[in-house]
Amino acid sequence: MNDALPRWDPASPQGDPDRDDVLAAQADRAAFDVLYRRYLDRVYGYAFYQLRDHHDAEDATERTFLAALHALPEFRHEGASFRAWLFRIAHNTIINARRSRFRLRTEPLPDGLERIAPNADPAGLVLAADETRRVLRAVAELPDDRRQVVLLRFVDGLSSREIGQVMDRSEGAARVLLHRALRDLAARL
Amino acid sequence: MGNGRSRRLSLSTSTPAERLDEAVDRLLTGRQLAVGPELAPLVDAASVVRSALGPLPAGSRFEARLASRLASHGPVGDLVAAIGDATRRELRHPGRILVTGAVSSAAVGLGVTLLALRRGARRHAAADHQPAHR
Repeated sequence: MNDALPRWDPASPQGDPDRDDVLAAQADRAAFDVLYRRYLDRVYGYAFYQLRDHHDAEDATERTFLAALHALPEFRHEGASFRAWLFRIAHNTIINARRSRFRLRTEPLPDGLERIAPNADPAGLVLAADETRRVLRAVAELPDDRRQVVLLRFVDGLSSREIGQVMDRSEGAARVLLHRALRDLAARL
Repeated sequence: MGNGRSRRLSLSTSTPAERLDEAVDRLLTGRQLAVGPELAPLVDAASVVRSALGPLPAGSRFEARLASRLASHGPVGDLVAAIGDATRRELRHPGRILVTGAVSSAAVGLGVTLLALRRGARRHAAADHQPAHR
């Protein structure tokens, strides 16, 4: 999943890898479909790993894309990539969802995880599910900002620079958060 | 090439957080990076997390439903576009709308009051000019 996402090099003349598609969508709303298809699973996954509920994750995903489509004409490529902008919308949407819900489930194993390899060896799936449960629990126990960094880095493949933009922190601060999060996880796993 | 990159890495990065970030970058793109013993457990943890937090595809029904909603989002967007750039700028600053609304309401209220007073004055004036017997 992460391999398919192009890295954003701010020094590159091309800049944001989504630039052409964003410009196309700004000119023709129907072209937003390309960006929607590209980021749907990533936004959904980001929402689901934090909200731990399919319905809540779908709701947050829907709000994120509707808000993004509505605000797209205002988006400018000025130091931030489209995906950092999109995930900032998702980030804020999820924060609002969590505030309004005022709870975070940690126990149930997300049933979506069984969809990763439906034809895999059952014994292997059980082991994978156990491992996944263990990691999810450890990630869920992280302080909120460290958990955000881990999810944005490993689930969504964002760079530290982009994570900083999403979380309104500096790139260096995002790196430090990642370092602390992995130190915590190394101690727990 | 790998050694060259590693050498460049060690020169260009200094803090543990920066070195770890580079190592995670490599991990996410399927490449290897030798790190010192202080970072090795953290890179191992990163590898475990990366393997465990797999992709979570959204359901196909949800995907289709949201795609449909996005496609039919046009009327609202067109409405916003139709009210013009100036108003859209205002919409980005809700506080300005409140102030504008409050000032407008006050102006309308003042106008209505003045009109009522003026009409009242006219009625009184007209009544004064009415013949006493009719």
